[in-house]
Amino acid sequence: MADKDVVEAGKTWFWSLFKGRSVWFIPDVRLLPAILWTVVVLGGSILTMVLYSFMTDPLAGDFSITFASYRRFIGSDLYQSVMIDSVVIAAKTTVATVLIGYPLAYYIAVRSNHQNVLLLVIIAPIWINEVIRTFAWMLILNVNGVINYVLVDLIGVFGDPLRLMNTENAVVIGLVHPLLPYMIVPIVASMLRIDFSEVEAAKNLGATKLQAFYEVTLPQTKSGIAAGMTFVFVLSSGAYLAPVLLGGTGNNMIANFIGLMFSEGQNWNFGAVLAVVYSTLIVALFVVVSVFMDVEFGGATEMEADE
Amino acid sequence: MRLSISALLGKIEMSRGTAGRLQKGAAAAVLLFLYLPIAIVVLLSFTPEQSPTFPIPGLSLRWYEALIEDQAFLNAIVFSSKLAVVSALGSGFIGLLAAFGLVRGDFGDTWLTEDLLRILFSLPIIIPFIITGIGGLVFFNFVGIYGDFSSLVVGHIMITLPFTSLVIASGLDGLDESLEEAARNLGATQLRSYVEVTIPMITPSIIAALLFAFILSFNNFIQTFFWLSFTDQTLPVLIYGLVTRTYDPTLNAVGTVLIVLSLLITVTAERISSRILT
Repeated sequence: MADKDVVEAGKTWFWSLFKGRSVWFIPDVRLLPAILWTVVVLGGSILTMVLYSFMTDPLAGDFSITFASYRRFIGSDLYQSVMIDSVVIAAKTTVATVLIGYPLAYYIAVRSNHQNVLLLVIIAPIWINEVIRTFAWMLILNVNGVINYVLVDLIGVFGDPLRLMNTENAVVIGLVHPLLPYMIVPIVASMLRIDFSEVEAAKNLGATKLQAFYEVTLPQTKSGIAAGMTFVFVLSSGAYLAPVLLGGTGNNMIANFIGLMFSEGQNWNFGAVLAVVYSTLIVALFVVVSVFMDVEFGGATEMEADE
Repeated sequence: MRLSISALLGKIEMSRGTAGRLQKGAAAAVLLFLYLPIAIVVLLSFTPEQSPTFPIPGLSLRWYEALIEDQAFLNAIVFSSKLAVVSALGSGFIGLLAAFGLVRGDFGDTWLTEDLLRILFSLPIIIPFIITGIGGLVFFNFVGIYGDFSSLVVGHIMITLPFTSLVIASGLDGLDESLEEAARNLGATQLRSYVEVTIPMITPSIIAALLFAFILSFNNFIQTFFWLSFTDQTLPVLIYGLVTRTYDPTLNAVGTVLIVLSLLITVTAERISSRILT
């Protein structure tokens, strides 16, 4: 009998969760678990990380406050140049992604009759395991990989195999590939809003196709390009796998150094400093972009960082 | 500068046919770039050779046999599956509640707007993974659950929550509330109108959300790499370890399995949730 009551009470409680009512400043009580989860786990992670960056030696239990790790960063040419190298690689990746992604986005938005199918085809690779995708590029770029097979054995343009692996370009290629969809989707979204009768009007007034594109279409896709660039830049600047697997020892990026401090280096507070400095850079970038450019992230948040 | 580019472009005339061919060619080239690496892995998984030579000299299933016989792979697959199922269910439940809150909540007079909440829920995938990876490591260590299965579930729910909450919310968005009202007017309790009207109508979104969460958790590398203790191994972490050490042809076989599984699951999920620009 009592068991039954408990079960009933449990059921009532369970279903009362689904009844919306506002509590305190929370508009609907059903939002609470997700808000708590995000604030506690994500907020807790970032807070702990920031705190650790100011601590002497948290691993050994010495939680006293110090700025030594920050001073070490400011005094270190190595880590500053790694930070700059990462930004350079991210910038190259971003530019390459725009140049490669824009034509396909244009084709999907303007020329294709199968928009949804093509978008699905573009987005689908995002979901494939990133270790496997980077491994696939090793198979292509290796000394005995696909490119060298085609260039040396098949066509014979080069006598000796090209050294493609363990270069900065290999890292950029390995980043452009998974990040292309993040560029293409927001550009397609911005193109779908264009009124193409304006393009026709420009052509009727004597503009060539390229002129009409440059004067009418391109300016209207600026917000899509800016949104795509922001996504690609942020994601590529924090890359971990491509630099390790494709860049070799000479092309490590900031994420690899951060990771190192937490695995072999066992210097958590300095790793936390690197992470804090890097995050601050990224947030600053977001602020600058959103203040100075009229970016709509709407189209791309639809797909979100699908990784 | 601007004028001169425009003037220059004004000199270039192109017939409709040429422009069309150029656009098609460019689009095809980019699609090839996207799918070539995937095709290479699939192709090499069927080679009888130990080394990755082209063209492959024949067809063989020996690497798939090697995969099935490899206890380390099987253990990792079981571990990853367990983690992904538990995380997807947890994330699905919390996400379902959050979706109802987002769509049906009363945002009348609070500073916590719907847009703000959507941004909050998206944060775990906007913030670079390396940050949440090491952030989670220090946090779990601080709380004292580092290396525990539970810490992985907690973390994976955080990573997948953006998908479950927003995918279900978009399904709920398109729902006609009058149907529930009708059910209630006909005498159904709140509970019954949920179970018999609302939930069945958003079942496609819920299934899609669970599938996304499952594959996201199953494939996750960066965060899991930092959160794992030395005794456990998820499939992506095991694969990473092998890739950094040496070339093992079994990787192509396991890669192909992962590619097919990921594409099947996510294309199904994208289609039943009709998420893409519709």
